[in-house]
Amino acid sequence: MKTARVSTLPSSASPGAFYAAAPKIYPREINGRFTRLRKAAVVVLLGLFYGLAWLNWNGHQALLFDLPARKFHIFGLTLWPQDFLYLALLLIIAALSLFFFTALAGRLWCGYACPQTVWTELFVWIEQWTEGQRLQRMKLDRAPWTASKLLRKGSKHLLWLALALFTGFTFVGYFMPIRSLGAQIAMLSLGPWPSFWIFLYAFATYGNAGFLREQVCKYMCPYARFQRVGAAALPAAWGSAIASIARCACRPVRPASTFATVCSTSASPAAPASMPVTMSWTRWGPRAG
Amino acid sequence: MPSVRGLDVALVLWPSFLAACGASLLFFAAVDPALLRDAGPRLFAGLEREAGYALGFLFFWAVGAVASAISVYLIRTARAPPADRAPDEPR
Repeated sequence: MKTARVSTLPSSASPGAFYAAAPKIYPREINGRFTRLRKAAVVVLLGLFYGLAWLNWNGHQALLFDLPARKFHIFGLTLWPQDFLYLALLLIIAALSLFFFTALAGRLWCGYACPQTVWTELFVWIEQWTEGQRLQRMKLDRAPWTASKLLRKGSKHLLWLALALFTGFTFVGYFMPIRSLGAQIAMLSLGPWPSFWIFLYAFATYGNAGFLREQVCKYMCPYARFQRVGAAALPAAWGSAIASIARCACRPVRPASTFATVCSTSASPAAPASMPVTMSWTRWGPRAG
Repeated sequence: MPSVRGLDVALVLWPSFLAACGASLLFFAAVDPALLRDAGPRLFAGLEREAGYALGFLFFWAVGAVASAISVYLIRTARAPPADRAPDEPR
Protein backbone atom coordinates (compact mmCIF):
# COMPACT_ATOMS: atom_id res chain seq x y z
CA MET A 1 0.00 0.00 0.00
CA LYS A 2 1.35 3.33 -1.00
CA THR A 3 0.48 6.17 1.24
CA ALA A 4 2.89 8.74 -0.09
CA ARG A 5 0.58 9.96 -2.83
CA VAL A 6 -2.50 10.30 -0.69
CA SER A 7 -1.63 13.78 0.42
CA THR A 8 -1.98 14.98 -3.15
CA LEU A 9 -5.59 13.92 -3.37
CA PRO A 10 -8.25 16.57 -3.37
CA SER A 11 -10.71 15.88 -0.63
CA SER A 12 -14.39 16.24 -1.24
CA ALA A 13 -14.28 19.31 0.95
CA SER A 14 -12.05 21.09 -1.52
CA PRO A 15 -13.02 19.62 -4.85
CA GLY A 16 -11.28 22.36 -6.77
CA ALA A 17 -7.90 21.93 -5.18
CA PHE A 18 -6.40 21.01 -8.52
CA TYR A 19 -7.47 24.11 -10.33
CA ALA A 20 -4.21 25.96 -10.07
CA ALA A 21 -4.87 29.61 -9.54
CA ALA A 22 -3.83 30.89 -12.92
CA PRO A 23 -2.38 34.38 -12.95
CA LYS A 24 -3.76 36.83 -15.47
CA ILE A 25 -2.22 36.21 -18.86
CA TYR A 26 -0.73 39.17 -20.68
CA PRO A 27 -0.41 38.06 -24.29
CA ARG A 28 2.63 39.42 -26.04
CA GLU A 29 2.38 40.75 -29.55
CA ILE A 30 3.99 38.31 -31.92
CA ASN A 31 4.74 38.31 -35.61
CA GLY A 32 5.20 35.60 -38.16
CA ARG A 33 3.52 33.57 -40.81
CA PHE A 34 0.91 31.95 -38.58
CA THR A 35 0.06 35.20 -36.87
CA ARG A 36 -0.46 36.82 -40.25
CA LEU A 37 -2.72 33.92 -41.21
CA ARG A 38 -4.63 34.33 -37.98
CA LYS A 39 -5.04 38.05 -38.50
CA ALA A 40 -6.26 37.42 -42.04
CA ALA A 41 -8.77 34.90 -40.68
CA VAL A 42 -9.99 37.42 -38.10
CA VAL A 43 -10.46 40.12 -40.73
CA VAL A 44 -12.19 37.82 -43.21
CA LEU A 45 -14.46 36.05 -40.72
CA LEU A 46 -15.49 39.14 -38.77
CA GLY A 47 -15.86 41.03 -42.04
CA LEU A 48 -18.29 38.35 -43.18
CA PHE A 49 -20.13 38.40 -39.86
CA TYR A 50 -20.54 42.14 -39.60
CA GLY A 51 -20.96 42.71 -43.34
CA LEU A 52 -23.24 39.94 -44.60
CA ALA A 53 -26.08 41.11 -42.38
CA TRP A 54 -26.32 44.31 -44.43
CA LEU A 55 -26.22 42.65 -47.85
CA ASN A 56 -29.48 42.63 -49.78
CA TRP A 57 -30.50 40.11 -52.39
CA ASN A 58 -33.52 40.47 -54.66
CA GLY A 59 -35.11 43.01 -52.39
CA HIS A 60 -34.66 41.20 -49.10
CA GLN A 61 -31.81 40.62 -46.67
CA ALA A 62 -29.46 38.08 -48.22
CA LEU A 63 -28.96 36.06 -45.07
CA LEU A 64 -31.94 36.18 -42.75
CA PHE A 65 -33.09 33.43 -40.45
CA ASP A 66 -36.45 35.07 -40.05
CA LEU A 67 -37.72 33.45 -36.89
CA PRO A 68 -40.79 35.70 -36.45
CA ALA A 69 -41.95 34.68 -39.93
CA ARG A 70 -40.60 31.11 -39.62
CA LYS A 71 -38.65 31.08 -42.87
CA PHE A 72 -34.94 31.22 -43.63
CA HIS A 73 -33.64 33.33 -46.51
CA ILE A 74 -30.25 32.25 -47.80
CA PHE A 75 -29.57 34.40 -50.85
CA GLY A 76 -32.05 33.21 -53.49
CA LEU A 77 -33.17 30.29 -51.41
CA THR A 78 -36.07 30.25 -48.96
CA LEU A 79 -36.28 27.44 -46.44
CA TRP A 80 -39.45 26.59 -44.55
CA PRO A 81 -39.74 24.62 -41.31
CA GLN A 82 -40.37 21.41 -43.27
CA ASP A 83 -36.92 21.83 -44.84
CA PHE A 84 -35.34 21.36 -41.44
CA LEU A 85 -33.72 18.16 -42.73
CA TYR A 86 -31.33 20.22 -44.86
CA LEU A 87 -30.25 22.23 -41.86
CA ALA A 88 -29.68 19.03 -39.90
CA LEU A 89 -27.63 17.60 -42.78
CA LEU A 90 -25.64 20.82 -42.95
CA LEU A 91 -24.86 20.62 -39.24
CA ILE A 92 -23.80 16.98 -39.57
CA ILE A 93 -21.54 17.86 -42.50
CA ALA A 94 -20.06 20.74 -40.46
CA ALA A 95 -19.36 18.46 -37.49
CA LEU A 96 -17.78 15.77 -39.65
CA SER A 97 -15.61 18.25 -41.52
CA LEU A 98 -14.51 19.71 -38.18
CA PHE A 99 -13.18 16.31 -37.15
CA PHE A 100 -11.81 15.64 -40.62
CA PHE A 101 -9.76 18.82 -40.80
CA THR A 102 -8.57 18.44 -37.24
CA ALA A 103 -7.37 14.91 -37.97
CA LEU A 104 -5.70 16.15 -41.14
CA ALA A 105 -4.00 19.34 -40.04
CA GLY A 106 -4.41 19.80 -36.30
CA ARG A 107 -6.49 22.31 -34.45
CA LEU A 108 -7.17 24.65 -37.33
CA TRP A 109 -10.62 25.39 -35.98
CA CYS A 110 -9.37 26.38 -32.55
CA GLY A 111 -6.50 28.46 -33.87
CA TYR A 112 -8.11 30.36 -36.68
CA ALA A 113 -11.87 30.05 -36.95
CA CYS A 114 -13.40 29.55 -33.50
CA PRO A 115 -15.48 32.60 -32.55
CA GLN A 116 -13.82 32.53 -29.13
CA THR A 117 -10.41 32.89 -30.78
CA VAL A 118 -11.54 35.48 -33.28
CA TRP A 119 -13.27 37.81 -30.83
CA THR A 120 -10.56 37.40 -28.23
CA GLU A 121 -8.04 38.49 -30.87
CA LEU A 122 -10.12 41.56 -31.60
CA PHE A 123 -10.46 42.39 -27.90
CA VAL A 124 -6.71 41.94 -27.40
CA TRP A 125 -6.07 44.38 -30.22
CA ILE A 126 -8.23 46.94 -28.44
CA GLU A 127 -6.37 46.19 -25.22
CA GLN A 128 -3.01 46.71 -26.92
CA TRP A 129 -4.23 49.90 -28.49
CA THR A 130 -5.50 51.44 -25.25
CA GLU A 131 -3.12 49.97 -22.67
CA GLY A 132 0.00 49.35 -24.71
CA GLN A 133 2.25 46.33 -25.04
CA ARG A 134 2.63 43.47 -22.61
CA LEU A 135 5.08 45.10 -20.20
CA GLN A 136 3.16 48.36 -20.26
CA ARG A 137 -0.05 46.54 -19.41
CA MET A 138 1.59 44.70 -16.52
CA LYS A 139 3.00 47.96 -15.23
CA LEU A 140 -0.36 49.66 -15.61
CA ASP A 141 -2.12 46.95 -13.63
CA ARG A 142 0.34 47.37 -10.76
CA ALA A 143 0.26 51.13 -10.84
CA PRO A 144 -1.98 53.14 -8.53
CA TRP A 145 -5.16 54.60 -9.92
CA THR A 146 -4.37 57.84 -11.64
CA ALA A 147 -6.25 59.89 -14.22
CA SER A 148 -4.16 58.34 -16.97
CA LYS A 149 -4.85 54.80 -15.78
CA LEU A 150 -8.55 55.57 -15.49
CA LEU A 151 -8.53 56.96 -18.99
CA ARG A 152 -6.76 53.92 -20.44
CA LYS A 153 -8.83 51.34 -18.58
CA GLY A 154 -12.05 53.26 -19.10
CA SER A 155 -11.56 53.67 -22.81
CA LYS A 156 -10.70 49.99 -23.12
CA HIS A 157 -13.92 48.94 -21.46
CA LEU A 158 -15.92 51.53 -23.35
CA LEU A 159 -14.60 50.23 -26.66
CA TRP A 160 -15.14 46.64 -25.56
CA LEU A 161 -18.71 47.39 -24.56
CA ALA A 162 -19.45 49.26 -27.78
CA LEU A 163 -18.03 46.41 -29.83
CA ALA A 164 -19.92 43.83 -27.77
CA LEU A 165 -23.20 45.69 -28.17
CA PHE A 166 -22.67 46.07 -31.89
CA THR A 167 -21.88 42.35 -32.06
CA GLY A 168 -25.11 41.55 -30.24
CA PHE A 169 -27.02 43.84 -32.56
CA THR A 170 -25.49 42.20 -35.64
CA PHE A 171 -26.22 38.74 -34.27
CA VAL A 172 -29.87 39.54 -33.69
CA GLY A 173 -29.88 41.16 -37.13
CA TYR A 174 -29.55 37.71 -38.65
CA PHE A 175 -32.82 36.67 -37.03
CA MET A 176 -34.94 39.73 -37.70
CA PRO A 177 -34.35 42.27 -40.50
CA ILE A 178 -31.31 44.27 -39.42
CA ARG A 179 -32.37 47.52 -41.05
CA SER A 180 -35.70 47.70 -39.24
CA LEU A 181 -33.92 46.55 -36.09
CA GLY A 182 -31.52 49.47 -36.45
CA ALA A 183 -34.41 51.85 -37.08
CA GLN A 184 -36.19 50.60 -33.97
CA ILE A 185 -33.07 51.15 -31.89
CA ALA A 186 -32.64 54.64 -33.33
CA MET A 187 -36.22 55.46 -32.36
CA LEU A 188 -35.82 53.79 -28.97
CA SER A 189 -38.83 51.61 -29.71
CA LEU A 190 -37.15 48.22 -29.56
CA GLY A 191 -39.27 45.41 -28.13
CA PRO A 192 -38.27 43.62 -24.94
CA TRP A 193 -37.21 40.33 -26.54
CA PRO A 194 -34.86 41.70 -29.20
CA SER A 195 -33.32 43.90 -26.50
CA PHE A 196 -32.92 40.87 -24.25
CA TRP A 197 -31.11 38.90 -26.95
CA ILE A 198 -28.88 41.82 -27.92
CA PHE A 199 -27.82 42.37 -24.31
CA LEU A 200 -27.36 38.65 -23.65
CA TYR A 201 -25.13 38.25 -26.68
CA ALA A 202 -23.27 41.45 -25.91
CA PHE A 203 -22.71 40.30 -22.33
CA ALA A 204 -21.44 36.92 -23.52
CA THR A 205 -19.06 38.58 -25.99
CA TYR A 206 -17.76 41.03 -23.41
CA GLY A 207 -17.24 38.34 -20.80
CA ASN A 208 -15.82 35.63 -23.04
CA ALA A 209 -13.51 37.72 -25.18
CA GLY A 210 -12.59 40.28 -22.54
CA PHE A 211 -12.19 38.25 -19.37
CA LEU A 212 -12.58 34.49 -19.71
CA ARG A 213 -10.46 34.03 -22.85
CA GLU A 214 -8.38 30.86 -22.59
CA GLN A 215 -10.45 29.71 -19.61
CA VAL A 216 -13.24 29.01 -22.09
CA CYS A 217 -10.97 26.58 -23.94
CA LYS A 218 -9.67 25.01 -20.75
CA TYR A 219 -12.87 24.63 -18.76
CA MET A 220 -15.87 25.19 -21.00
CA CYS A 221 -15.20 23.95 -24.49
CA PRO A 222 -16.37 20.38 -25.10
CA TYR A 223 -14.36 20.20 -28.31
CA ALA A 224 -11.07 20.83 -26.52
CA ARG A 225 -11.95 17.96 -24.22
CA PHE A 226 -12.62 15.69 -27.20
CA GLN A 227 -9.21 16.63 -28.48
CA ARG A 228 -7.59 15.69 -25.23
CA VAL A 229 -9.23 12.29 -25.09
CA GLY A 230 -8.58 11.86 -28.77
CA ALA A 231 -9.96 9.34 -31.18
CA ALA A 232 -7.31 6.79 -30.23
CA ALA A 233 -7.51 7.25 -26.48
CA LEU A 234 -11.28 7.01 -26.27
CA PRO A 235 -11.51 3.24 -26.76
CA ALA A 236 -8.63 2.90 -24.28
CA ALA A 237 -10.63 4.78 -21.67
CA TRP A 238 -13.62 2.57 -22.33
CA GLY A 239 -11.36 -0.47 -22.16
CA SER A 240 -10.02 0.51 -18.76
CA ALA A 241 -13.57 1.16 -17.55
CA ILE A 242 -14.64 -2.29 -18.64
CA ALA A 243 -11.51 -3.80 -17.09
CA SER A 244 -12.19 -2.10 -13.76
CA ILE A 245 -15.78 -3.37 -13.78
CA ALA A 246 -14.44 -6.86 -14.43
CA ARG A 247 -11.94 -6.50 -11.57
CA CYS A 248 -14.69 -5.40 -9.23
CA ALA A 249 -16.83 -8.33 -10.14
CA CYS A 250 -14.04 -10.81 -9.52
CA ARG A 251 -12.48 -9.48 -6.35
CA PRO A 252 -13.78 -10.02 -2.86
CA VAL A 253 -14.81 -7.00 -0.83
CA ARG A 254 -11.95 -5.56 1.16
CA PRO A 255 -13.07 -5.22 4.75
CA ALA A 256 -10.96 -2.15 5.50
CA SER A 257 -12.54 -0.05 2.82
CA THR A 258 -15.51 -1.30 0.94
CA PHE A 259 -15.18 1.82 -1.10
CA ALA A 260 -12.22 0.37 -2.91
CA THR A 261 -14.37 -2.15 -4.70
CA VAL A 262 -16.64 0.45 -6.17
CA CYS A 263 -15.76 0.89 -9.74
CA SER A 264 -14.02 3.94 -10.97
CA THR A 265 -13.90 4.81 -14.61
CA SER A 266 -11.28 7.40 -13.95
CA ALA A 267 -8.26 5.42 -14.98
CA SER A 268 -7.33 6.50 -18.43
CA PRO A 269 -3.56 6.41 -18.36
CA ALA A 270 -3.54 6.53 -22.14
CA ALA A 271 -4.95 10.01 -22.21
CA PRO A 272 -2.13 12.43 -22.81
CA ALA A 273 -1.94 15.56 -20.74
CA SER A 274 -1.71 17.76 -23.76
CA MET A 275 -3.67 20.69 -22.40
CA PRO A 276 -2.08 22.85 -19.73
CA VAL A 277 -4.77 21.95 -17.24
CA THR A 278 -7.19 19.20 -17.97
CA MET A 279 -9.93 17.77 -15.91
CA SER A 280 -10.56 14.16 -15.41
CA TRP A 281 -13.84 13.39 -13.75
CA THR A 282 -12.93 10.87 -11.21
CA ARG A 283 -15.40 10.13 -8.51
CA TRP A 284 -13.47 12.54 -6.34
CA GLY A 285 -13.93 15.48 -8.56
CA PRO A 286 -11.61 17.14 -11.02
CA ARG A 287 -7.89 16.89 -10.89
CA ALA A 288 -5.05 18.05 -13.04
CA GLY A 289 -4.36 15.71 -15.93
CA MET B 1 -9.26 32.63 -12.38
CA PRO B 2 -12.52 30.96 -11.45
CA SER B 3 -13.06 29.86 -7.91
CA VAL B 4 -14.59 26.45 -7.26
CA ARG B 5 -17.96 28.05 -6.70
CA GLY B 6 -17.61 30.03 -9.90
CA LEU B 7 -16.64 26.88 -11.72
CA ASP B 8 -19.71 25.11 -10.38
CA VAL B 9 -21.89 27.93 -11.65
CA ALA B 10 -20.22 27.63 -15.06
CA LEU B 11 -20.61 23.85 -15.01
CA VAL B 12 -24.31 24.27 -14.33
CA LEU B 13 -25.10 27.10 -16.72
CA TRP B 14 -22.87 26.32 -19.66
CA PRO B 15 -23.77 22.72 -20.59
CA SER B 16 -27.43 23.50 -20.03
CA PHE B 17 -27.07 26.50 -22.34
CA LEU B 18 -25.64 24.29 -25.08
CA ALA B 19 -28.37 21.71 -24.52
CA ALA B 20 -31.03 24.44 -24.60
CA CYS B 21 -29.69 25.66 -27.96
CA GLY B 22 -30.02 22.18 -29.42
CA ALA B 23 -33.39 21.56 -27.81
CA SER B 24 -34.81 24.87 -29.04
CA LEU B 25 -33.55 24.18 -32.55
CA LEU B 26 -35.20 20.77 -32.66
CA PHE B 27 -38.36 21.74 -30.83
CA PHE B 28 -39.13 24.93 -32.71
CA ALA B 29 -38.31 23.35 -36.06
CA ALA B 30 -41.30 21.11 -35.40
CA VAL B 31 -43.53 23.38 -33.28
CA ASP B 32 -44.56 26.91 -34.15
CA PRO B 33 -44.62 28.95 -30.94
CA ALA B 34 -47.77 30.61 -32.26
CA LEU B 35 -49.40 27.25 -31.60
CA LEU B 36 -48.97 27.89 -27.90
CA ARG B 37 -50.89 31.11 -28.26
CA ASP B 38 -53.69 29.64 -30.40
CA ALA B 39 -54.10 26.22 -28.90
CA GLY B 40 -52.22 26.36 -25.62
CA PRO B 41 -53.42 27.21 -22.15
CA ARG B 42 -54.97 30.59 -21.44
CA LEU B 43 -51.71 31.67 -19.84
CA PHE B 44 -50.14 31.99 -23.28
CA ALA B 45 -52.93 34.04 -24.88
CA GLY B 46 -51.53 37.08 -26.61
CA LEU B 47 -48.03 35.60 -26.75
CA GLU B 48 -45.90 36.87 -29.59
CA ARG B 49 -43.83 34.43 -31.60
CA GLU B 50 -40.63 36.12 -30.48
CA ALA B 51 -41.68 35.81 -26.86
CA GLY B 52 -42.55 32.17 -27.47
CA TYR B 53 -39.08 31.43 -28.81
CA ALA B 54 -37.41 33.22 -25.94
CA LEU B 55 -39.56 31.63 -23.25
CA GLY B 56 -39.09 28.21 -24.82
CA PHE B 57 -35.33 28.68 -24.85
CA LEU B 58 -35.29 29.90 -21.25
CA PHE B 59 -37.46 26.95 -20.24
CA PHE B 60 -35.09 24.45 -21.84
CA TRP B 61 -32.16 26.24 -20.24
CA ALA B 62 -33.78 26.05 -16.82
CA VAL B 63 -34.56 22.34 -17.17
CA GLY B 64 -31.00 21.66 -18.31
CA ALA B 65 -29.63 23.75 -15.46
CA VAL B 66 -31.53 21.66 -12.93
CA ALA B 67 -30.06 18.48 -14.39
CA SER B 68 -26.55 19.96 -14.42
CA ALA B 69 -26.93 21.22 -10.87
CA ILE B 70 -27.89 17.76 -9.64
CA SER B 71 -24.91 16.25 -11.47
CA VAL B 72 -22.50 18.78 -9.99
CA TYR B 73 -24.01 18.26 -6.55
CA LEU B 74 -23.63 14.49 -6.78
CA ILE B 75 -20.02 14.77 -7.92
CA ARG B 76 -19.10 17.34 -5.27
CA THR B 77 -20.69 15.43 -2.41
CA ALA B 78 -19.22 12.05 -3.38
CA ARG B 79 -17.35 10.37 -0.58
CA ALA B 80 -13.62 10.87 -0.30
CA PRO B 81 -11.41 8.06 -1.52
CA PRO B 82 -10.07 5.56 0.98
CA ALA B 83 -7.04 6.90 2.77
CA ASP B 84 -4.80 4.00 1.84
CA ARG B 85 -5.02 4.16 -1.92
CA ALA B 86 -4.25 6.71 -4.57
CA PRO B 87 -6.84 6.98 -7.32
CA ASP B 88 -4.71 5.70 -10.16
CA GLU B 89 -3.13 2.88 -8.21
CA PRO B 90 -4.13 -0.51 -9.60
CA ARG B 91 -6.15 -2.61 -7.23
